[in-house]
Amino acid sequence: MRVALTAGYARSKHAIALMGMLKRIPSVEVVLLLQVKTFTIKRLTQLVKLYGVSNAIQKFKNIFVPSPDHELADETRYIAQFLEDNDIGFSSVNEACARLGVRCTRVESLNSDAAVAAITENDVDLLVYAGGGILRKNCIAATRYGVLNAHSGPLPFFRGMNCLEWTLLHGVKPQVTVHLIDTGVDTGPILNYYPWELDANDTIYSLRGKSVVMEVKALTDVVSRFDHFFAGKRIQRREEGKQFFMMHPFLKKNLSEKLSRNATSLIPYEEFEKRHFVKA
Amino acid sequence: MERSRQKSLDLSIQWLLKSIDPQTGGSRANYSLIFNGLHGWSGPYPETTGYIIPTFLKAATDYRYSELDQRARTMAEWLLTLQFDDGAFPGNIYYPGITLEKSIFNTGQIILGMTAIYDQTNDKRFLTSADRAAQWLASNQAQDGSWQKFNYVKSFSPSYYSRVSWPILKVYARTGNEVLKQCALCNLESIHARQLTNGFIDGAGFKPGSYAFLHTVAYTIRGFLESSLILNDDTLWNVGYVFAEKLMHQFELRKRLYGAYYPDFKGIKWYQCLTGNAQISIIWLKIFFKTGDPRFLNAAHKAIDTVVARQVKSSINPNLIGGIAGSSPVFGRYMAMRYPNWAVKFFADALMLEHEASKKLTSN
Repeated sequence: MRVALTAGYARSKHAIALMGMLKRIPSVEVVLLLQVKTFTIKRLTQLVKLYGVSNAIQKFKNIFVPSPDHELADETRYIAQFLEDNDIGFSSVNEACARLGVRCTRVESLNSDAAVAAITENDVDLLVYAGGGILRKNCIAATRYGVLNAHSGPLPFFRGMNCLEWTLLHGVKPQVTVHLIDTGVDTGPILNYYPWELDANDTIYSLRGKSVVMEVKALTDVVSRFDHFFAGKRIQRREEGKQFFMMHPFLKKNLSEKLSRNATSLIPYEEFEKRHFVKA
Repeated sequence: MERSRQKSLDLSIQWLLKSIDPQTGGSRANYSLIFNGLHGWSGPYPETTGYIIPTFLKAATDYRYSELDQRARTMAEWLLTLQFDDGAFPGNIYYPGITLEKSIFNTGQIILGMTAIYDQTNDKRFLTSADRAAQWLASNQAQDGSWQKFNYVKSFSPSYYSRVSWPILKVYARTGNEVLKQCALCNLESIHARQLTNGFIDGAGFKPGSYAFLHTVAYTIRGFLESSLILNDDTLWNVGYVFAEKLMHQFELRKRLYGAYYPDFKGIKWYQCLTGNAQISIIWLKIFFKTGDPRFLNAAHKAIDTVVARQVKSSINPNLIGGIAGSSPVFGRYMAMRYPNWAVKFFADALMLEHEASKKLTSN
């Protein structure tokens, strides 16, 4: 299977890890990496709109000059450890591409004509999403099977942003969901679930970091047995889930306090679905 | 309460106290150096004085602003002196010697104060006043559930009159008078008939066929939600809920609430209606309390942030400190260049309700 990968920025550890892992799957040929240009006015505007000015600056700063004191450092150390444990020693996706013999194309947007042309020219069967912004129909339709994504919360209920946090706030165990992207928000066919456990002293940031590692593992697993998971895919109905948005700091604080005293009382997603969701 | 929120609540209460007219004890409608001359303060406003009463009582009881208890009582006593013989209350701002007209909407809002002070004091005069006002509303209702007289715009019975049904139902809940219940339901049904497939309720603005400020949009939704809570009626709840949910989605995606909306949810973007932001956050908090859906609490926190950021925290003019402009920027269309007392009232309500919602989330 011919696989392409996206990357939101050159030093994305998430994308580097995926590249390293996917290259090890014998049945998979990684043929293309689409790297979205970091500094475009549109992208910067979207980031500022999404996170606010100070948070957006902090995010950028942390990419280029990581601060060991910042909470993001706690978040990224798990994926850094994963890279080390798996002997993936690239510092950027560009370096990974050069050393692994994968074509790297920098694009303004994943929906640009250049991105779609690169996908088509390389006869890509499956695009694996590792960041780079919202995808439109033209990009999604350019591959044979579509675009694979690892979502940080259980679908179909928890769609949208910060879904790991929302899952925990609802008293549900964390679970990564691998699904195909469609034009809705996390509404595409579900291929598989990957529940995982918390530790007693986890924080929101350590959990986010662990979730990223689980997302890499989950995507690697699904790609390695893609035909099997694709055949058993679960189609979502729109009304099965809710769209969640960026969590306010007050709710994050509330969640942090709950985690520190109550982490073991989380229920599995299946149980939550039975309790809170009436299937048609 | 979170520290910055407590500071905002303190500023709000202090500003509302400054708004009290020393002659009447009512709360003055707004502060503006442009519209009200050098004095800055308008006259007291019976309508908003009415619904500031429950704010004061709650702040006194649950948040230790003890002097507000007596202030609320003084306000209610002043309002009693304004009630017409037939039970109606006046619209518009009070200035001594100027005759005030009867008003459907304002009568409804004053009932909210009268029922609240009755619940607090058990003084029958206040319930009698509220009952007479509600009966006046019922007796002036047209057969189709609307009101054709004593309106803000002649012969236009706007959709925000759902917020007239709510106080009528408050009186019904205390007197058991079925006539009042039927009056409220008839009005709500006629407004429900205006709901569009996209969830918007047409006619929610001050004028027919025009945009609606977020302020009156929020009045409209709140009327349905509160009425449903009194009657335990899911149909009424859903009317308000779908409208509120749509606004929540739009707010999260656009990162702001617009100053005014057209029925297709397109908005007037260049200003925000800050009182509307506070009112909508109250609505989302009410939905959180009923449904437990934390997305509404999340959105309410963010909407409250937008008002916290725009409350006047320091100024060489002490009358501005704690005030909230009608619009942001201050020259926006809604209450341009004025600091209305109802913006601060709804903001204080939102802060108190937000605190209770956070406690609920913590205890879950």
